[in-house]
Amino acid sequence: MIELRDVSVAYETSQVLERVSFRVQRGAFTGLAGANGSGKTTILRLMARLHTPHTGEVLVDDRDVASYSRRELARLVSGVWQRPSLSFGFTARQIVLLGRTPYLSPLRWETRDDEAIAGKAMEETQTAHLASRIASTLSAGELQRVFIAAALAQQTRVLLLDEPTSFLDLRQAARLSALLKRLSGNGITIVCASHDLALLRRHATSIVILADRQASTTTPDALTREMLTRVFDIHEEEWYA
Amino acid sequence: MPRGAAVVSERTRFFATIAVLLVALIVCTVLSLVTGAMPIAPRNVVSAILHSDPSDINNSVIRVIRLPRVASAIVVGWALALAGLCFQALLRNPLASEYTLGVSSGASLGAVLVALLHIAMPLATPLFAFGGALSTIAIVIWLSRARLAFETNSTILAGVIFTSLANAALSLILSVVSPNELHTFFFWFMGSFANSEWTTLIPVAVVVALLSIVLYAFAWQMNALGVGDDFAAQAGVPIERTRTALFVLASLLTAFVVSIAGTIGFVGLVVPHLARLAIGVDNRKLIPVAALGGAALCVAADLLARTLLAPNELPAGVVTAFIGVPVFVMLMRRRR
Repeated sequence: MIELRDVSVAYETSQVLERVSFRVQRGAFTGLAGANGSGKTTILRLMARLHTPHTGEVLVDDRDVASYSRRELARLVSGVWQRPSLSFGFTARQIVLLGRTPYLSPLRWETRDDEAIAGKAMEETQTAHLASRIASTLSAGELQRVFIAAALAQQTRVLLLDEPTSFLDLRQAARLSALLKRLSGNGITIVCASHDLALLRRHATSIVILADRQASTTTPDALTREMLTRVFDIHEEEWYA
Repeated sequence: MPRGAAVVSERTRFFATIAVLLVALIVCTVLSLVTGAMPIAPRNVVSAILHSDPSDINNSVIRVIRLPRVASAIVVGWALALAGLCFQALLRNPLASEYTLGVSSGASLGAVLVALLHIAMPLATPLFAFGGALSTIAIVIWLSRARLAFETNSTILAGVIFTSLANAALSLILSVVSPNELHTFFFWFMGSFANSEWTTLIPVAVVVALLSIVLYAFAWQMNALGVGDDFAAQAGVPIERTRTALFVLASLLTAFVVSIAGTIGFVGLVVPHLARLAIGVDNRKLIPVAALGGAALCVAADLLARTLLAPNELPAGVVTAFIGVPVFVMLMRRRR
């Protein structure tokens, strides 16, 4: 479904990824784990073509992402990103309807079908009751679910999630976790970058560990303390500090 | 999703706002046509619009002076409000407008150059105004060092700084030109509809109408951009192309109307904001509402400019500034 082939990315002074290759299977839930700055978000951005690799290729459905038009790619891959702009008073419903953007044009405005799809996405994410609320007044968890609803309204087969549980309290995180389980059960391919290893261990079918500019694929069961000590560079005494 | 009460009231509010603005525009237009140094009865206004009679002084006043003047105010207000809306969508900042970004001043400088250098090329004024507008955008972007990531207020600050510089340059020109030319240059500085003529207005009106249609085609993309570049890009909006198109559209709208009316400030800042307060943030609804609101505001401002201190006449830009500054201050306080 998605493949990175020999991908290298560097930001100004530092190399983030160096000849990274891995594959995400169709319908899989892939977790991206690694320390801050290890390139988790960069990988998600590469998959959505929000970033271009310096070398190598990113393939979606065996085609280079660069060869898709924005619209074509938006019908295949959707994402929920950190720090969306909420400068204007968009309501939750308006944000979810914006997920229909790849199907609209100047001559084709959203129809009742589009509204129905957005409505279903809001029900699925338990956000229907927030429809007329201004997005900036929502809690972090509510906002996260609204943006997931927008991604679902996009009706893509791939969903990219960047730190979906950051800033969420326990209840909101549990709700999100249940939602991800449902989505994964519906056959959506999910790639989720997260520091929440419990979340990844619970849902992921495979985990890509990012360390030292390299990626290695493993299973959730392999997330042992030895591995985390190495990946996150944690000293023995720090585990108990 | 149930198409509930909130959706119905949104639609009703949109049509009610359009209706109110249309009535306001018609009332201000009628008042502008009948009021002046020589009051003319509405009956005579209608007859002057329908039949040309050069021997009748009332007929000439309406056809040659007041009608082009009020039409010019409509076109200018319409275009400035749309340019402001466009800049606000691009910068995701309700404080952005062609005026606060210095684009109007840049366009005015370009237009002043044509008069100063006595350039007689056809369409020289709008072309130079467009050059001035685009150069301003380039300078403001460079000053703000924000490149294409316009999230911060630094772009607005850069715009305000550039406006001061451009106004200083215009003042310098005003202080060195001969007294005979002073009035012409003062016009670019403060903005006015007093020099409106059909010959210059009609081409500008046609261009503004076409640009408005093109802008409308971008309304949905403007909505997606409002939630952030990443969101818009992954939702299928070609960011760079859309941004460039919107910048060019907003600069063209500003440049063309500056070329016929000089710098009319605050319309592009205040009107989109008030429109958003009235009907929400969907640009497909904001575009018609802001356009009509801008037109109504400029016709009202020109009416006040002509009547407040009659027989003296104020520049329309002074009136829009007196309305705009308190609203701008209110916006700044709300954003704290």
